This record gives sequence, C-alpha cells and structure tokens, in this order.
Amino acid sequence: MYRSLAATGVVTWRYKSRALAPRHACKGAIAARLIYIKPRPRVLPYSVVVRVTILHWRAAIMSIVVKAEALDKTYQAGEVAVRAVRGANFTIEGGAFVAFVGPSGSGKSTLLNMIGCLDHPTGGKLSVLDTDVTTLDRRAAAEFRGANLGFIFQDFNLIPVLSAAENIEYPLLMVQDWPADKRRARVTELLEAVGMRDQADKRPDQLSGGQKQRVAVARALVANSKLVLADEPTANLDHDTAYRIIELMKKMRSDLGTTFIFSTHDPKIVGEAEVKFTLEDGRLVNSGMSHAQSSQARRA
Amino acid sequence: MLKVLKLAARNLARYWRRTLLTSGLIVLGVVAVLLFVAVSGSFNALMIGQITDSMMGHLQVHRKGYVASIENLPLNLNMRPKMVEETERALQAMDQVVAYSPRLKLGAMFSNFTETTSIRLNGVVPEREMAAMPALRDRVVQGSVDGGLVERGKLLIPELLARGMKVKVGDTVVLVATNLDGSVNGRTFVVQGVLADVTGPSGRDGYLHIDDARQLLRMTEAEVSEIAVRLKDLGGLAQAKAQLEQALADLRNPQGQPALDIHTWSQLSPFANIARMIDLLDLFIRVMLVGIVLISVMNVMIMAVYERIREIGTIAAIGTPPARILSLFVTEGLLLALIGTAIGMAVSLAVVYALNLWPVSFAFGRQVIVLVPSIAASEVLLIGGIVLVVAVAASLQPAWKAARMDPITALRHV
Repeated sequence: MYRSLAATGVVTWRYKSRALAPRHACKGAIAARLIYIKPRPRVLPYSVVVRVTILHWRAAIMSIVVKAEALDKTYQAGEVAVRAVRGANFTIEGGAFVAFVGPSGSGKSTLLNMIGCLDHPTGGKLSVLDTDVTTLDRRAAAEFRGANLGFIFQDFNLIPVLSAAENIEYPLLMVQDWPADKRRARVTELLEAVGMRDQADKRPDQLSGGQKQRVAVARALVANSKLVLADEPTANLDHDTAYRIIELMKKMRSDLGTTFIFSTHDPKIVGEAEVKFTLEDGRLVNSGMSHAQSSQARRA
Repeated sequence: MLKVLKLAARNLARYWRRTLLTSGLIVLGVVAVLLFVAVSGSFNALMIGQITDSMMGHLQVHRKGYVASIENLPLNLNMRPKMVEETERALQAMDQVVAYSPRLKLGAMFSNFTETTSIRLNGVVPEREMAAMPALRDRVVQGSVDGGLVERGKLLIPELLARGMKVKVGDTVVLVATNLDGSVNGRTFVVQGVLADVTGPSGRDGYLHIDDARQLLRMTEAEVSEIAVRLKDLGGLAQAKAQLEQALADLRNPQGQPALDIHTWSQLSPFANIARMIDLLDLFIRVMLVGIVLISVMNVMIMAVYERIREIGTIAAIGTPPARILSLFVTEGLLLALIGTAIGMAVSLAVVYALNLWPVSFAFGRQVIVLVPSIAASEVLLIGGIVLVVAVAASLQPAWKAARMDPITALRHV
C-alpha cells in the first residue's frame, strides 16, 4: 500500500522529511505536492486518495521545469562578439515534449547547453528545476547534471570500450554510486524499455545508429533524470529510424513523466514535438503547441 | 575504485599496441636498473668482502701518523706495547668485535740466491690472523696452511713475486731487513705457500710469523704496526669506530692529541672510490629510469587525453565529477606502470636466478671475478615504488587537463 501511494506521489512528503529526495529535486514540484497532500487526514477514504493522486500528478506535470528571463549569450569568435541568444523568455512545464527548432547557427544548441548547465548565460536569468543555474560553479554544475539531467547527443557519444548495458549503467556507477543489485535491475528495466535487451553485451561498434541512439536514450533516463536534453538526436539517422527514436522518447516521457527538450532542424521531426520554440538569429520568434499537439487537443 | 580500475584497464586494452610499447619501455627500464643494481651490488659486495675478509678487516688501529707514512712502513711509528694492551682491552669489551689481529709490518729485501727484490711483509699471529681474515686461506694458491697460516721460519709470498723470482713452495729464500737503529739483519726462510694477489693495498704483501718478524728486526718489545679488526656486521662500522675512538680517547701523545688513529676499510682502500663511483652510476641509471617512465607515461597519457576529448566531454556532460575523471586517467597511467613494473621485475629476477645457476666470470685487473648477482627484496620494492610514483606523477598533468576540460569544447572537438 505504501509503495503504491509513494509511486503516485501521495506520500511524497515522507521523502522530503527523510531527506531522501534527490539533492537537486524540483522544489516547485515538491511544494505543489505538499499543497495537495498536507490537508489530508491520517486515514484517507479511497476516493480521496484517488482525487489527491490525480491532483498531485497534474501539479507535478504542470510545474515549471525551465524558466528563462531575458536570457542572453554572447561569445567571442576571434575578434568578433557573437550574440548567440538574444533576450530569450520562455517557460517549459514538467512532462512536456519540447523542440527548439531553427536553422543552423540560430542558437538552439547554445540554448540547450545553457539549460544543461554546460554553458553559462552572459545575461538574464535561467532557472532549471527551480535552481538558479547561472550561479553554479563547475563542480556544482556537474553534480546538478548528474543528479537531474540526461543527455542525448547527435553522434550518440557512447563509450566505445563499454557494452550497451555498461554504457547505460555508467551514470549509475560513475556518477551516482548505486549499489550493484539496484544497478543491474535498473539497467535491465531500461534495456527492455528501449528494446535493446538482446543487444546488451554488444559494444557500440557492433550496433547500428538507431540502436546506439536507443542505448543513449536509456543512458539519459537510467538515473531517473527529470529533464532530458537532446541536441539534434536524429541528425545522424535515416528518417524511419529518426521517427522511431522520437516515438521512443515520447513513450519514455509518457511512461516516466520525464521532460524532453530537443533541438532539431528536421521539419518531419519538428511535427512530433508538442511544444515548439522557433529560433532565428538567437531570438525566439515563435512558441506554442505543435501541429501534432493541436490535432491531439482537437481530437480530445 | 574497482570500477575506475576496470574502465582504465579497458581503455588500455583499447589502444593495446601503444600500451604494449609503453609497457615494453618500462619493462626495459626496470630490467636495466634491477640487473645493474644486482650485478653492481654483487660486485661491490664481492670486492668489499675480499678486501675486508682477506686483507684489511673492517677497522684498523694505528699509531697516529702511521697511515700518512704507510708506504714507508715506518718502524718508529709502531704502537708501543701499552697502546696495544689498551687497544686489545677496548676491543675485548666490544660486542660487535668478532676477532682482531695485531700485525707488524715491515719492508725487506727478498733473495732467491740469484736475484734480489723488495717485499712488504706482515708479521702475524697465525691463529688470530686466520680468525680476523677468514678469506685469507682461500688466497693460498700453492702450498698448505693446514698446519697454521704461517709456521715459524716460513713465509707466504705473493704470486707475482713467486712467478717473477721463480720461487716455488719449499724453496729457501733470504730476507734482509733494516732495523729501527739503521743496521740490517738477514735470515733464511722456507716458502710455505703462495698467495693470490688481490686489488688494493697489502694485496701483494707476504706473511710471516710475528715472532720471526720481531727477530728479523731485532725488536726487543712487543710492538705492532696495526691491529686489524673484524666486526660482526659491516652495517655497524661507523658505530663501532665511534665506540672504539671513545674507548681509546684517554691514550694521548705528548702533544695532547689522541695517540691512536682508527680507520675504516673504506678510508684505507682505494676501492672505496670505485664503490662510490658504482653507487653514482647506480643513481644515474635510476634517474634514467625515472626519465624513461616519466616521458613514456606522460606521452601516452597526453595522447590518450587528446584522442578521447569527445569521450571526456560526454562523461563530463553526464555529470561525472572532475575528481573521478582525474582518477580515471591517473589510474590508467598507474596501471600502465604496474604492468611494466610487474613484467620487468619478473624478467629481472629470472635473469638474476639464471646468473646464479650459470655464473659469469670476468677479469678485474689480474683477478678473475665470478659474478653471482643478488638483489634485496627491499631494493626491488623500492624501484617498483619509484616507477609507480613517477607514473602517477606523469599522469597527473594530462589527467588534470582532462578533468578541467570544458564539456562544450570537448563535445565539439572533431
């Protein structure tokens, strides 16, 4: 009973009180949970539990994961100062499937790098999972990434000396120090989720591009990341494989509630995003629900 | 730590040719150093053993000023009986002293009735000389010392002299010596044995009984030129010298200075300088090993970092702490050195073992030396430790560079 309640978030306050929540847990989400859970009586009737659960899920989903205000990034390219991102304002809600689109050099990757705490903005404010990431130093940023973020790269970036399973295991082993039995269980779970159970022992050079990206998706999610950032995840894949990877990412979002943010300039893939931000010369020129989401909303 | 070690091992295996070459270089360095240390150490020990066990002892006591004029064998600088008595008392009180042998040294004319030459002789008490110089017996290449090192009326003569003068065991020869008062005295002796020459002072001296020496010199008192002392352990040399100096401090000459000088074998034998040179070479070759390890490991690790920039970017991006990235590369360097050191040690010990099974002999001057190399476990561990420490030091800079790498720059690297 406790496990099922914990899974739905009804008893999430216990995590908080026992300091078992991840170090950089989304404070907004926890606050939202507490608002709904605190008034509950000691013993709840079933209908109340269900109601509270639904309210909580909605609160967690609707919490703000990324908030940017007048975000700026200027870097030096030799003698020239390049303003890669110019005064971007946007918010991304929890559980969203978001795409930053735009031509090459429009600032998509720079924006993603800043959200991923790989780069610092030169102006404005940026809050990720309710943490002001502009103030994080090198070590704190690494810690924050390790605890909260997952990354998927255009070139897959798997570690060549490790098998598919070991690549997925890497963040649990080298970043988060999970115990061996839990690690194994989690890796198996993720291998199955991305359909790579049979390829677990293969090294990256024995896998196809699509398989490598599946492993990369699993690696990004293995440590229960709250936010996954994918920079052009389908650029090196053929259209069918690219579509399947996007479907996989969406499925994982639905199953785990993880927020996915990816950048792309592939118009076929852009349509799969539920929320789309368009960038031109570092400026956000358009944002809103994508065609797919609009259609879904209409159908509903 | 185990997971870092495992990953480091896989990375080394990934570039196995480079790993093999670098490890090979370290193996070569370790083998060179260990073999040099084993061979030079054995050579040193052999020579020092020969010098101290068959000629000089570990310590020698002389009357002050005697050593400065030792080439002339001055009879007027012999130790007086009181000095000898005091010295013997002090030596008997010392635990470290195994044996000591009083000697009366003299120069004489040596004649085989057809030719004459000069000879340096040691008048000794045979039993005490044998006890203090246990290897002297082994130098006897002709004749026998079964009845005592040297019997009354007999002589042990150096091989070079025996060959030059065509003298054999059992031949009668004449010794003529100048006495303290300037008169000369002659006596016939029978050659009891021939001694192999050894390197260093007294290496070509003859031996006769101390009473015969005193008779030849017409000496009325029991004077001696030196007392050679054998210690239990060469390691306690400095301590024994200090103790003896303290015990004999009350013996003063008319000028108020200590009446006796105490010298260690290394202060008297020129071989000590050769030993010091060998030690210097030993140090030099160790420095070379440090250089080999430092340059080769650093080279490999710098290459590893440059080749894996994107990989470093990836692991940094997914949150690997900088300290763990640093430890990963340092472990790779350490592992590389560990492989090289382990193989190097195994090869060296196998060669040392083989040289013990099939000893190699070579000529050192006129001497033939049989090399039986050996090396202390502490020495092997020390050299292994040096290699590992240097490898870690060499890996630190590239590892630091990897740990400090900006993930974005690294991920963009082509």
